[in-house]
Amino acid sequence: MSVSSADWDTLSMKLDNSIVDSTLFKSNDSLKEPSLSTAIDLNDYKIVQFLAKTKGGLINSNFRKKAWPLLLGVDMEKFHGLCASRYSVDWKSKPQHKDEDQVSLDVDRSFIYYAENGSDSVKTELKSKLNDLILRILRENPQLCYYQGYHDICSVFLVIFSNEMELCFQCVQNFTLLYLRDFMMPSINESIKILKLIPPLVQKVDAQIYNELLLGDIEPFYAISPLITLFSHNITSFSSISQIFDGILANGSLGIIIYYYISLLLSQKENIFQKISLMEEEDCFTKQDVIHDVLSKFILNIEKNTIEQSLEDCTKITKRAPLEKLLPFHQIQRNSVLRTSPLINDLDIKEIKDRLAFITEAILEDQVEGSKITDPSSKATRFSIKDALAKKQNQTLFKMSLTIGIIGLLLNIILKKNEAFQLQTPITQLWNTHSEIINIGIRPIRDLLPKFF
Amino acid sequence: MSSKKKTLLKVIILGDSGVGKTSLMQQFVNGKFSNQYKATIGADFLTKELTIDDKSVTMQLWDTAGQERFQSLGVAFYRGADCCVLVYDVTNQKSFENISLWKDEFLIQANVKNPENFPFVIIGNKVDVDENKKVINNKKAQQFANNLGNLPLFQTSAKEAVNIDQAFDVIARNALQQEENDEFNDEFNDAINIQLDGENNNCAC
Repeated sequence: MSVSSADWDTLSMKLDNSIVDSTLFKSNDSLKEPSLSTAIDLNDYKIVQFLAKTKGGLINSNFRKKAWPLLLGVDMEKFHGLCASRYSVDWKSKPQHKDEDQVSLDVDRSFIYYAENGSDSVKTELKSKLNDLILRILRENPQLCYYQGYHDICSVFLVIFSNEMELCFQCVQNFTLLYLRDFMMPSINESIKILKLIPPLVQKVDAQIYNELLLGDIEPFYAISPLITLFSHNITSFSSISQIFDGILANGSLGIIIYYYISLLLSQKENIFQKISLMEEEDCFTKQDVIHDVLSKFILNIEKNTIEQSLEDCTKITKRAPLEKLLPFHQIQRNSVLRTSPLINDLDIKEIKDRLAFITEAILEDQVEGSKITDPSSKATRFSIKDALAKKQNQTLFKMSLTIGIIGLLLNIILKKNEAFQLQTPITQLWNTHSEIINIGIRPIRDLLPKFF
Repeated sequence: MSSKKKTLLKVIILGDSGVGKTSLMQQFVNGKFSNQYKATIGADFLTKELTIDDKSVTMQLWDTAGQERFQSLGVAFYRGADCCVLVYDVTNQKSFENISLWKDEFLIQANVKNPENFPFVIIGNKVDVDENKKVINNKKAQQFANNLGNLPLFQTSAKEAVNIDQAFDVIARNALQQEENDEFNDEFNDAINIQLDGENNNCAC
C-alpha cells in the first residue's frame, strides 16, 4: 500500500500551499489509506496530522498503532533501541503511589464499553494490563495524581495497542504529560477552571442555549466526565472514541475537547430542549437539576454518525470563538495544557518533542506547586513552556533591553538629581517617561537595582 | 406555591469509592444488580415514585463519585437535600472509618439549617460476602451509629437485594419528615414576615 510519487507530490504541494480542506478525501477515500500509509513510513508528521483531521480520522487500529506514536513524539528509533522487557520490569521496584488502591477499584469496573464482545478471560487480561499500565505511569511520574476517569482513557490506548505494552506505555505517558496533566494535579480545581470555559463559549456560539438552559447560573459540572475522560466515559462506540483521540492528537491541544462537547451539544439542541420541557411538565424538580441531568446524560444516546459529523462541524466553532478570548481563560494557570499547548494548525514534530522535554524538566513540578495556590492571581508560577522556549531566542534581545533599561535608569536618576537645581525641560520629561516605560517593561532590571546602585 | 408541586424528597448517597452506592440505587430503583456499573464520575440522579402512608412522593436519589477529589463538586448538588445516606463496605475498614468524615463534609457543603437534627442513615453494604471477609461486625457498627447520634443503621446487600426496601423506607420517611419540617418552618417564617409587615402598617397608622 503506497501512493504513486505523482499523487504524493500533489498532496504535499496542496498542503504546502495551504489550500487543503477536509473535503479532499471525502470524494476519494481510496487515496486516503495509501496516503496515510506512505506518510507514516516517511514519518511525515504534517500529512499524518492533516489526515487525522479528515472524516473517519486515522481509519483503524492498525494505522493508529503507528500514527499515534508519531503524533505523540515517541522516538521510535530510541524506542527500538531500548531493551523493552528489561526496562518494563524496573518500574515495579519503584515506590508505590498513594492512589494505587483507587486504581484497582476502578480497573475492576473497566472495559464495559470497548471490550464488549471480549470473553471473560480477555477482559481479565486487559484489566491486569490496565492496572500495570496505570501503576507504572504513576510510579514513574509520582508528581501526578490519579483521578477516576483516567482509567477510561487508558483503556482506549490498551485496546489500540493490544500486545505492544511498552509502546502503549510510552504513548500514554507522553499523552498524559502533554494533554492530561491539569486533571492530575493534587486537587480538582484545575479541571474545574477548564470546565468554566464551557458556558461563555456556548454563549458565543448559541445564545439561545445559553439563555434557556441558564448556563450562566449553574455550575458546569454536567460536563465533568466528558471533559476529564475525553468522552471515553460517555461514548460507547470504539470507532467514534478513537476518532476523538485522533482529533486531539492532530490538533495538538486538549482545547479541542471543549469544542467537541459544544459541537455535540449543538447537534442535540432540539432533543435537549424537548427533554427539559418534558421533565419540567412533571413539576417536581428544580430547573437546575433538570438541566444538570439532561446535559450530563445527552451524549450517551447520540448516534455514531452524528458524533462523527459533529467532530467535523467543530472546526467552524474553533475559528469563531478562540478559548483565549473567553473571560474565564484568565484563571487558567500559566503551566496549564491549554496555555502551553494551544490550538494551532501547523505543529511539527520538533515542537511536540520540545514541549515534552520542557514539561518533564521544568513545568510539572512547578505546576503542581502552582495548583496548590487557591487564588490563581495571588502568585504567578515561575516557568512556562512558552517562556522557556522563547528564552533562547530572546537572550540577545534581553541583553539589549537590559542595557537600554540601565541607561534609562541612570538618566532618570541623573535628571531627578538635576531637578533640585533646575526646572525640567520638555526633553527631560520625555526621558523620564521613557525610562519609566522601560522599567515597567523589564522587571528583572528592578531586581538588579541593588547591585548597581 | 410549593403545595402545587409534587412532594420531592432529595436524597444524597455518599461514601468511599467502590462501596456500592450506584448498585444500592439501581437495586432500589430498578430492582436489578449488575457487575457492569462503571465508576461514577461527577454526580447524577435517579428518581422513584413512592407512596408513604397514602402520600405520593418522588424520591430523587443523587449518586456521587467516591474519590475524595470530587468532593468539592458537592456544593452544587447537596443543597436542598432532605436526607443523606452514608454507605460503607463491610469488607473495607477504611470505608467505615470515613463515614463520619463524609457526614461532616456533607454538613459543611449542604449548608443545612439544623445540622443536629438533619437525618442521616448509615448503610453497611455487601453483607452477602463470606463471613471471613467481613471486617466490620454488627455490634461495632451499631455502637458507632449510636455514638454518631442514634442514626438508623442497615446491613444490606445490593447484589442479593437484602434489606434494600427496609433501608429506603426509613430513608424516605426521614426525608419526608425533614421536608415537612422545612416547609413548616418556611411557612412559619412567612407568617412572621406577614405579621411584621402588618405591625409596621399599624405603627404607620
